[in-house]
Amino acid sequence: MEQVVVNGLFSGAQYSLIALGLTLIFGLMNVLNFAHGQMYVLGGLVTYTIVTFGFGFIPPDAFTIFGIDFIFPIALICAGMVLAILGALFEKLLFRTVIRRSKRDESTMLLAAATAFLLDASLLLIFGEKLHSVPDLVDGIISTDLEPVFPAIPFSDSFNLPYYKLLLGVIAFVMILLFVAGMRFTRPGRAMRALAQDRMAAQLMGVNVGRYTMIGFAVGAMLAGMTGGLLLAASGGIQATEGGAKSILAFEMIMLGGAGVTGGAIAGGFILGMMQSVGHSFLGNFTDLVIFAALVVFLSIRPQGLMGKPWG
Amino acid sequence: MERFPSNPNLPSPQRGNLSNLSRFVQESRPTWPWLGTVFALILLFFVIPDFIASMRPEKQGLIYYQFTQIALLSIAAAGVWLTFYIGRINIGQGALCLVGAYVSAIVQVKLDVSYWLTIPLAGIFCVLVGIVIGWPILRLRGVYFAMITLILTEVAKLVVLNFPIVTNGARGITNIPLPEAVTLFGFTILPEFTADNNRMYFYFLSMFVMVLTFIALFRLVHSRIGRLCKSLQQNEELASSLGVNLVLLRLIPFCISCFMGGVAGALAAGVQHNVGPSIFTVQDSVNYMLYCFMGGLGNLFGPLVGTVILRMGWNYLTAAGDYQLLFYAIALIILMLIIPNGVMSLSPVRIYQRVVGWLGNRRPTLNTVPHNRKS
Amino acid sequence: MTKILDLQNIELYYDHVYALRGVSIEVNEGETVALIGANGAGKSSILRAITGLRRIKSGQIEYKGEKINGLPPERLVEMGIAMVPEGRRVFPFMTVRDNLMMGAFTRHNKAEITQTLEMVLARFPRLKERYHQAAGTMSGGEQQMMVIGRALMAKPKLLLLDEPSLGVAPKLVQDIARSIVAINRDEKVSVLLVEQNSRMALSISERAYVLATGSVALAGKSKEMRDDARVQQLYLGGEL
Repeated sequence: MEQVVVNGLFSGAQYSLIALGLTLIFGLMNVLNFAHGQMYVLGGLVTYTIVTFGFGFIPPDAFTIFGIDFIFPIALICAGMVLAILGALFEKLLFRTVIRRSKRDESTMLLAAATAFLLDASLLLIFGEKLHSVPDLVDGIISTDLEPVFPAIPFSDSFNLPYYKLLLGVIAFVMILLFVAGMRFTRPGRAMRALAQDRMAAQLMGVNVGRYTMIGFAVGAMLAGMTGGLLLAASGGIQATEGGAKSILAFEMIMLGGAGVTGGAIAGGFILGMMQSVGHSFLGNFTDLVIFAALVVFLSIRPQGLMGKPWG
Repeated sequence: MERFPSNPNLPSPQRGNLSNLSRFVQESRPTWPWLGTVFALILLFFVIPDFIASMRPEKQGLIYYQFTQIALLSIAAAGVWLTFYIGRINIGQGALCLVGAYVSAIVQVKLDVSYWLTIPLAGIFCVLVGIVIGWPILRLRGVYFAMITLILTEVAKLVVLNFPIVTNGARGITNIPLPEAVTLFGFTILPEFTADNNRMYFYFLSMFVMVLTFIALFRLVHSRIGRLCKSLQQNEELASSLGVNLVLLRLIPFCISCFMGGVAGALAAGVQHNVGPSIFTVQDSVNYMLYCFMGGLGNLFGPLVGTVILRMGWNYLTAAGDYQLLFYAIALIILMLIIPNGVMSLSPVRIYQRVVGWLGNRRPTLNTVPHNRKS
Repeated sequence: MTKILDLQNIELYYDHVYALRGVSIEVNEGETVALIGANGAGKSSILRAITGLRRIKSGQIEYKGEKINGLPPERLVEMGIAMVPEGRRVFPFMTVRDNLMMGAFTRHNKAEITQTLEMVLARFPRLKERYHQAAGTMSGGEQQMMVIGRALMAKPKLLLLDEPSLGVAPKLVQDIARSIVAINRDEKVSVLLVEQNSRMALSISERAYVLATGSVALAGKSKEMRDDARVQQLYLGGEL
């Protein structure tokens, strides 16, 4: 049971980060970013490339200082930056034009789908279908054999948490906190929240709509990319083709929590992570089916999700 | 006086003339559906087969196959278009196609029912699925509906994979027989499909169903229900205040859409002789939506035009090998930037105006819709 | 008197339908001017044109003698034009404090912002009670006070108000009218007030324009207009 809870919390933190990026883009621009899963994969594969090959002339082991290997955090930051630039370009060159020219909001969906195809195709061409993985960050494991953690809980079974997973979980939690704090307390954060809540009013307050929409898209893409890096190290590896599936997961999360709301994305991420973790130990292969059925039932009672605005 | 100024905000008198003209074009449309149908039938059943017959024999099968696919995809896309007609973006048609294909295959192989019966059977089964799923999810709007239907395709695949007793799991059903002949009072109504001729016969079959689909769609859109649906698309609260049974009104088009998906799936099962969990994927669902958008959501024939353009483009890009999807995506993005409202949104009047304006001023105005629509 | 705002021959179209045809309006420094007229007469379109939310087709908008048409809204806020949009448009999930601070988005001097904040809170004590409440949960009248306060946070020289009495309880309409007068007097802010409630608008303004089908039908002193039968006729959709 403890193992299930820990797994759920762990994937929940990662999922929340994906959902946060998606919900930010949706809240700001009313664009459903189909390419979010692909951005996540791209982030993971950029991290993989840097960790494995370094920066061309600089080999990856050049970043070991005082016996600590700094290549992974550096790679993670690079992945974030690459994705931020990509996101900013997408917004500025593609989405902005289409939003301005088209008659319907929904036309951006087509564009988003096309960018998803584009990333999918490019990733497959560059990286192939092979599973890419990196070595564990740190050795060691926390285990109940050494030290019982929650002895009071019944169904307690053997419990393992490798140190590298713990480390990655902590990084994910810290990133969520940083994001929430950034949205609350910084100037761009406040501008983006205002834009998401009332675009016209924000404009009248002197918020530069173009600039902050672009920043928002960049931050959303960056979160997806960095989560890709984190999950690359946490799971067995990442495949160039799994982007679509990850997008679908992210959609489930933001529907659960309510689209366009930060708290909803976090809640959705953790709930889905927990449901999957519990489901996999009781239901096996049927987990995703049961989750979908539950989601349909839940949305038919509460169409706007846990804390979303009605109709997004 | 400059007759076609390139300034996007034309003064009202001139603009009035132009919009009168385009309104005339739109209003005159219902007067030539029969002519259009006859023309389409001649084209599809005589001109194109004649053209294909003039090709090398070994190539004919492939060409028939490609046209058949376009017909099938446009039937499914027509369903997606119909759900858009009630203001819902449906990215789950692939799921219904998958269900339709499996129903047809399972009923044929396990219950030994004639292929001809399985086509309507698949459609009806999909209607039932549509009622069960549509009832709860049609309450959702906008991106919520889009997202949940997108997930639906993935779920359909999971269902297939998780119930191998019925569906054969990942291996799929591979031994679907070719349709046999149907005779009535000694007359052969429907001929037997053989290994030699099935490509051509399937072409005729699917084209026939496609023509039927679009006639039905035309009738539906110009019926009372169609007009009510259109009002739903524009303002749901207003429509509900008119005393319309919203739940039913949304469910009927959705079920028709599911029926189309199911029929397309059943046809595909016949054409391909086998079905597997990945014959209709999320990408197909997204593609149906793309066909509708690219053709134009404002026009009944949008899905057909979009399917023809995008699918033919896709087929041509096969030459690009591994780069096929990449080029397809780039072409889509470029198309989207040039015609964000779809091919059918281009009116001849406006193109003429634009070209003349461009020749006169050397300053193209691509957009005549003012900005800041949202404020 | 110097003009703070000067609109000359404004034309504005929505798609192909005109909303404003040759509108000329001016606001003098320190003055309160009312724009009244029936629904769809083009009152809100004038404010949208001034704030740059809608692009005008022809004509000129001058603010303090400087041409401002074509400037993006954020530049205008920096120059001292603040608008209270129709239907209040609060940021519903932000607290009252955050909403007010959004009003000062273009200002950077923290000490001055705090000073303005204290002024706004002193002027609308209700907001102090609701300081940490989400703005979406307040009543219509409270929200209206908050958006006026939010506009004041930008320390404007010209305040544009779009239908401040809409959807506000009748008792609170008077409060709002009184605070508009006070703001105009104490803060030396010129006010352009768009209203359907012509009695309220005419009672607190010095001059007024009556709009009908996209152009100015009547202009003059508010005091005289209050008893003018023609104003009522225009409201009922009549022609002069």
